Order: sequence, then C-alpha cells, then structure tokens
Amino acid sequence: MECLPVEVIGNILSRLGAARDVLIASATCRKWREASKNHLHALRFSSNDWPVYHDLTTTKLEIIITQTIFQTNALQCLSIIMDDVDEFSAAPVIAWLMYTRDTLRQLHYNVTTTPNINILEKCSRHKLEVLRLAHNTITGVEPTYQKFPCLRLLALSYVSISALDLSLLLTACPKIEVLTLVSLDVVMSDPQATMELSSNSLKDINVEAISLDKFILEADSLEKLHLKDCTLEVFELVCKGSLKLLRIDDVSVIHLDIGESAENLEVVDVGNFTIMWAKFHHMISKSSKLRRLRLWGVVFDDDDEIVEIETISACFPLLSHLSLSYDLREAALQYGLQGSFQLENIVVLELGWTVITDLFSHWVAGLLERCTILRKLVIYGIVSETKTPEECHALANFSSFMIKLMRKYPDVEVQFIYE
Amino acid sequence: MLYAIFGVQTFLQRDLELRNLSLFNRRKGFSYLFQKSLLFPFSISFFLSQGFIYLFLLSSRKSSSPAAIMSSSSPKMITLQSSDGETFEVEEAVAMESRTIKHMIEDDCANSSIPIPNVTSNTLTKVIEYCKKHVEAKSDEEGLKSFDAEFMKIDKDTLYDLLMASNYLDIKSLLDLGCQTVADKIKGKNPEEIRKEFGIKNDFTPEEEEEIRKESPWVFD
Repeated sequence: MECLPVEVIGNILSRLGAARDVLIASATCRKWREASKNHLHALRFSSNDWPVYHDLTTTKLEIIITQTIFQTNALQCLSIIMDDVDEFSAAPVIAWLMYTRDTLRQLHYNVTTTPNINILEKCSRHKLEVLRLAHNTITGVEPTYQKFPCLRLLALSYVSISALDLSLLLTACPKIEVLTLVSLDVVMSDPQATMELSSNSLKDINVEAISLDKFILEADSLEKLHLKDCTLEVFELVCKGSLKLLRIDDVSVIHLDIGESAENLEVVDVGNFTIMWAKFHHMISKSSKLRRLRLWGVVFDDDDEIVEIETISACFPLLSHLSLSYDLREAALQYGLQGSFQLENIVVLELGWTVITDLFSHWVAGLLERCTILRKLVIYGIVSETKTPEECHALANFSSFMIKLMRKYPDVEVQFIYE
Repeated sequence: MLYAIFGVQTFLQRDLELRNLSLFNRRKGFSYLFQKSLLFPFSISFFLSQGFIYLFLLSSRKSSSPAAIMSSSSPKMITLQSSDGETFEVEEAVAMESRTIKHMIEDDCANSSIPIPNVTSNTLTKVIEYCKKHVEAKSDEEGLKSFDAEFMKIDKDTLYDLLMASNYLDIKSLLDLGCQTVADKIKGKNPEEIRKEFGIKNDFTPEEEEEIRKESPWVFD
C-alpha cells in the first residue's frame, strides 16, 4: 500500500464518493491527504450517505459542503442529492458552481435554490458531460453564448422550464445523446401547449409524467423512445428510420405517429394503452427485424376486435420474446389462434391473466404447441385478495392443467409470478 | 535491379530508334513501316517481362517480412517477460488491453519479448487472465460482471500487486475495478481502522492531526 502512487489513491477516494468517508480516509496519512486535495475527482453529498445529515440545519449543511468543496482542486463529478433539505440559498450554490467551473464534468443537483439562480449560466459549460437537475427552475436560455459542447446526458426532473427554453437548450447541446424528462412543469406562453424539440444527435429519450397538447420530436438518430405516464393529445416523431426501441407505458394519447421510421424496430413494449389495432398494426407492420413484442394490458378501441397471432408471426419472423396479457372478453380471447402457423424463433414467452379461466389454459396450450424452440415460459397472474370459492377452484384447475401440459415440454423452464 | 532493367530497355529502345533513323534515311516507305512495326511488339514484350520480374521480386520480398504472418489465419502472439524471468505468450488483441503495451507495439518496439520489470509472474498471470476474459466476452455484460466479482476475491497483497501492475500497464478497467474493491473495504471505517487494514503508517505530527480535526469538525465528532 505504501508504494501506490498518489493518483491511484485519488482514484480510490473518488470511488468512495461520500464526502464524509473521503475526509475520514484522508486523515490516515500524508499521501492520502494530498490525494484528497489534489487528485480527488468525485465528491458526493447525499442524504443516504450519513444519517446525521438529517439533523443538521440547512445553514450548517451549506457550510459543510462549501468547506469540503473548497478543499479540493480538480473536481470532476459533484453530486448534491439532499432529499429532505427544502432549499439552499443562492450564495453558497453559486460559490460551489463557480469554484468547480473549470474542471467539472458531471453535476447532479436536486435541491431548490432560493432565490432562483441561472444554474446553466453559472456551472461549467465547456467540459460538462452529464447534467442532472431536479427541483429547480430554468429560465432565459441563450444558445448563442451558452453552449454545452460536450453534454451527453441531460436529465430534468420536477423542473420548471418553458417549451421554448427547452428546445433552445437542446440546440445548445450538439452532442446530446440521452434526454430524460420527468414531471416537467412546462410553462406555456400560448394557450395551446405545444412542445417542439429537435436534435440530430439524440439517441435516447425518456419522457415521464408530462401533459401537453402537442409534442413534436425531430430526432434523426433516435434509437430509443420511452413514454410513461403521459397525457398527450398529439405525439409526432420525425426520424429517419433509426428507431430501435419503442416503449409506451400508461400513456393516454389521441394521435400517435412515429412516421415511416419503423424498419429497424427491435423492441416494442406497450403497456396499459388503448389502441386501434389496425392503426397500430400499420405503424409496426414494416418492422421485420422485431425481436421483442410486449402487449400488456392493451385495450383495443373496437370491442370486437380480435388480433390473430398468425398476423404477428407473419409480420415478425425474427420475434424471439413475446409477451401477451389478455383481458377477459365475451367468450373469445383478444388474441386468436386461428390458422396453422409456427412461432419459429420464440425463445421466451410471457403470458398473463387478470381473471383466470379455462380459456386461458387452452390458449397457453395452443401457443406452446406452435413454439418450436421455446426455452422459457413465464405466467403472470393477478390473485385478488378476497378469493371466492370459484376463483380458488379455477386456480386449482389451472395448476393441474399446467402440470399436465408441461410434461410434454421437458426442456421449457416455467416461472409463475402472481401479484 | 529495376533501374538496370529500365536502363537496358531504354538503351535498346534508343538503339533501335537510331537504327530506325538510319533505315529511314536509307529507304523510306514500306520497309520502314515494317521495321517500325517490329519495334512495337519488341518493346511491349520487354515491358511485360520487366513487369513480371518486378512482381516476382516484390512477392518474394513480401513473403520474407513479418507482416505477412498477420495476413495468415493464426493471430499474432506477443511475448511478455515478468520481473522474475518467466515468459508468457499472449495474443496481440489481449496484450493491447494494456495501453502501455499497445503504444510499444505501435511504435514497433515489440518485436522480441517485452520486459515488464515491476510485475511478478504471479501478478502477470492474473492480469493476463483478466485481459483474456475481457477480450473474449466483450459483449456479455452480465457474464463479465460476475467474472469481475469472482476475480476480486483475492487477498490484500495480490490486490495491491494488481493495482500497481494495472497502473503501470495502463489497463483502465482493471485499475478501476481494483480501486472500487479497495474503496468498498474502506467504507465505514475510522482512520485508525483503515491504517490497520492497509498497513499505513501515520506520518502526521500531533499539530497536523489537530489541524485536520479543526478543518472539518463535523466529520470527527
């Protein structure tokens, strides 16, 4: 340990992360102290690190953070994640940002600042690669002189920002690859809440808990699109066919358009969504490279609509993971098994029920028959708290049926997940 | 050799031209054209033969160079020599995980075996094992994670040797893995316990210790 160079000690202390642990470790010997001053590149103040943080006043915390940051020299990653602090005052926050301005590459900050400061202006811009902000307000974005040439990842949670400022911010980040927006409070100047974002380099976008009238996204290199818990009237994606992953979870959107960009889709995951099958089918029918399809808790607009699994197998010959859950309809299941077809590449099959019936058991049997190289079967079920005798009976029947069925397929691994 | 051929050829050509001129002087017309037409295939054949000789020489030169070995199916092997004299043969791709060795290969200093003076054979074996796995299973993230976890179940001395070796050989992923392992061992300990665990000597004077405590009282209370 004596002969480790001081840079390596700096690396070790940076991986230790939590500010208090770093300071304790730096009190062991001179080399470690020097490492913590000149070679420390990551520092974290998180309320999870030390329970005593909860008992300290906000002013005391500000002093501690200021003192510790000012003891370092070349900080590259700064994380201040204090969940139970209401707010920090502007002066120390400005001091922390300006002190680390020359070297900072990653900033993670989630405390409200009072009065509000323009964090984008104060923080390091030239080297910043990752910016995660929460509970703050962003105003007055000026892309002409506020540029983030190295920013790869931008995550905004519970941030109040206008639609115009967000689109300007994206134009100021020429290399952005990942954008995460959670519970944004989008301030609108006009009565129609429209957000238009455009970026050539964006690869991955994650939008959660946003409600807008219109959301237009222009991203030529987009590979992953994830919408969760959103309320939108119109969502339009303009992209050049690079989309690989589409995930929609608990979204209410009247008009969804992913354009002609479906040829390279590999994963489609739709949950808790109401769709018109014809329209959806049209959207993804050209995705012949599709490998994973998940339709979970999907409600079809048209009650009588039945989706033939034969269509699925015909459209997506490379499909290897299929997950379908059904809602009990009149007498037939939403996903029909008409026709003779083989699901040749399916390796993992996940099937779920909300209400157990015999129909489900036969459906499982039908699907298993058609899978030639299946390796894993996962059955998801919802078991209600108050179990009527009929339900218990049905569950018992299902269990015996499954045991008999699986004897025919000894190579398949079966897993049951009941909620 | 090439120049000699070229020289001979031009000499002959010029000679023929001169002869042709004299022919021309003597009698024009049909016979002149006849002589000229003979020249053409003659020079062509000369060019062709020159070309064949050139290609033959080039191929023979190529086959004797070590670069030709790369074009064959077996991968290039690099020899590494540990501090205690033991030699290890590794594939070039595995050796290139170390940026130090990579630069040596690129600067063409790696023709015979590469000496690694501050790494013992035991440590070098472990390093090579790590690099091999990371080259083979590059895309298998889960597999690599479990391999790394198992790999780090070693005693402290081996851990320090690995840190030193990966620092010297500039293998970032191994260095980061080793540092993270040490950091996990430090977490939650007070300074005295850390000193005991890692055999660190306390070289602070009592005044310096007092200064440290005063600087960050919130840490030591």
